[in-house]
Amino acid sequence: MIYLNPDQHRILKWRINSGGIAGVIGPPGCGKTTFGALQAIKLVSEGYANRVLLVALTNSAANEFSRELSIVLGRDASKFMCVRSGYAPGADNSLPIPFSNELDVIKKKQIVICTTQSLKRLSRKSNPVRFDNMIIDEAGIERLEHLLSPFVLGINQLGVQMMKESISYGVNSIIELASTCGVVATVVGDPKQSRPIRSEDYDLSAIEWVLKCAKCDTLYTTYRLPDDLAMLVNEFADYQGLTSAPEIAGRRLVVDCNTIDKEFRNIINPDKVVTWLDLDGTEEMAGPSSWYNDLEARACVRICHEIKKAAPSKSIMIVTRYAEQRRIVSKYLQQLGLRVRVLTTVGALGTQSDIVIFTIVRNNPERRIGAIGSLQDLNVAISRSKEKLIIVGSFDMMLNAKPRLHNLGVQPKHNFPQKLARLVSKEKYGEIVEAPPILRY
Amino acid sequence: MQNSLLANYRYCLNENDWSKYRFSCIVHYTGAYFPRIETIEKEVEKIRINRKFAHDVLCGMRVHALRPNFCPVCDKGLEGSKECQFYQRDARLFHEGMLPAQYDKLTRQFFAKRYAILKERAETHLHKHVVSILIDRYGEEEAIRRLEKTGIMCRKFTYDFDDGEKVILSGADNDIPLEPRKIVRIIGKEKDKPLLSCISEQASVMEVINNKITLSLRSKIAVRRAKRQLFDLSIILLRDELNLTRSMLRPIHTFHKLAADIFIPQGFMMS
Repeated sequence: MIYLNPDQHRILKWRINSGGIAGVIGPPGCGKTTFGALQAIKLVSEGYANRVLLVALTNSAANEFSRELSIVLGRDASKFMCVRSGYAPGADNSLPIPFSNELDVIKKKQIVICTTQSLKRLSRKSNPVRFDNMIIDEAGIERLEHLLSPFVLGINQLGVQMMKESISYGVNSIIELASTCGVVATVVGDPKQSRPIRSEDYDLSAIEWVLKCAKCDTLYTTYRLPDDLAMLVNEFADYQGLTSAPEIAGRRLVVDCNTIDKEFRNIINPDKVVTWLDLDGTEEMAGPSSWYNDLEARACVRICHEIKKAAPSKSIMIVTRYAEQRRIVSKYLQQLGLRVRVLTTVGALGTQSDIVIFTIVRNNPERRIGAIGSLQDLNVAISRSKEKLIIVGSFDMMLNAKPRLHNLGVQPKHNFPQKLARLVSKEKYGEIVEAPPILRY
Repeated sequence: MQNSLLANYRYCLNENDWSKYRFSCIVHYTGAYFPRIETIEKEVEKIRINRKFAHDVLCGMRVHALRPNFCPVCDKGLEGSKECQFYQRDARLFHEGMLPAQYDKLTRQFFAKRYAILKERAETHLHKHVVSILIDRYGEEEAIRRLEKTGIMCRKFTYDFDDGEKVILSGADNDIPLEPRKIVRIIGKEKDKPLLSCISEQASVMEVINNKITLSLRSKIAVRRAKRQLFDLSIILLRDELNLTRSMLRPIHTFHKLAADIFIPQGFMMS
């Protein structure tokens, strides 16, 4: 049985009973994806919609939708009602939801899960698939033009005709236009967790457009982050009221400390939810916009090895901002035969793990922090963990970081790396641990 | 036309040298062009302007995307596509000041989005831009060595076998710096030909296991073509980007037409 908290219940009721486009803001772990899946099931099962589209920008986020649906509906019902469409190698084959790009198969299903880029397969001119309702996840990373691809599949010609007959003077934006053309969509996301890739600072993300032009509501209870981490994230990203669900608040890593090597005991310390391993590695440039830090990569892998020894059942995830660091870490993990997920901050959106190790990578005498200094990347990196967060990198670098200047050399308003370092250095949110000699070389 | 310029560069090291052309004209839906009697200057100029825009974006300059010129079909008094006619009428009404205020506001938003997409399109040339700069600076061999070190490029691949649209290549070692779902360009390095004008094919990475990489090409025909032209040569994989311009512009066009349908009184959009 799945219980909804009052926030989720209120928003679900609102979205079931209202049309048009609306936004739902969900801080980390507030159940955005679960909410989307539940809404789709409710819409279909209670006859509010014949066919619902669930869209995400990345395959991993679309797979999360499939996972939630298969948990709620069960194996047989999810197989019967749902279909995953898009790019075949990106779909998770372990889930019971079948994969298909055949329009005839898709038209027989009531819930269709797809990525934004693959929607063109569904919108073939001669035989498009139409949807009565759609839920768009992780809209913080999408731009307005990404939203328009699913919206095309929800245009109601009757709505357009009615609009023509009584021209509404309240239409001032593309979102309002889509809404008046009969598109019914719930756009879910968090502008504090993601920004569109390569966008200009002044360019709004899809969720910001929806916040500006449509009605919105917010979820405030996190089911992922334990109390300390929830408070850290709340203060860091200024969510103004993010709290842990009571059953989650006191959750801590349970591990037998005697099985952990002496050098790693302070790092894996189960009493502290957040630990910063202060490690002075050297950054190396890789390609036009990527970096790696070999010492940090090796430290992450060694910590993983140690955790796997002490708590083999715990899921571990290593998060980094840089694709090259992910590659280096994956290579070391492969050498040790460890099966641990390594994700970039973009790939980590919508995912979670018992233990998260965040590698900062950047460390230079000029204290130039670069892309990792953004609110969204840091927020994603620190908010994936269910029990324990270990930050690996130079504390001094973050404390004295010079964030990247905006275009035209404008100094950014906030120094987020510094804010994070200050919050962790306070006793209540975490502790800073000096790297043991075994990790320094 | 762009490919013709590239062919000039490939065979003569000068894109304006048409001397090695074995045919007299290029027939395209926009018209027939005779390179040797200089009927293509206008078209080449358009390509240069677009290329300069992409180059300036990649060099980090703050440039504004230019509104495209009207299509050469319509410019010559022929009947253009429905889309083309739609935008011509739209522009005409704008100049005549006949657009309703709300539609005008929406049009500006649509065009702002279009320009943003064009700018992003320019950025998809990033890896080629880096390769070109390094080759100019260090020469081809040294540039490839440096690019290989940074993971932008990898070489020493040999063709193993193919299965439908998939091709399996073997690398020299287990350290292949590519991950599934990355888009790459498979370049067959030809002797005495500049790297970026060598034969190539686009593919996406499906799987990397030890020294084996599985690539998915666009079609079975592309696999057949690659087998005939590419796989006997020394293979280099260069990171590339997927061009999503068309799939992003199509929904904008749909909603732009809807807005016109709703806000512009019937008969206004007729020529």
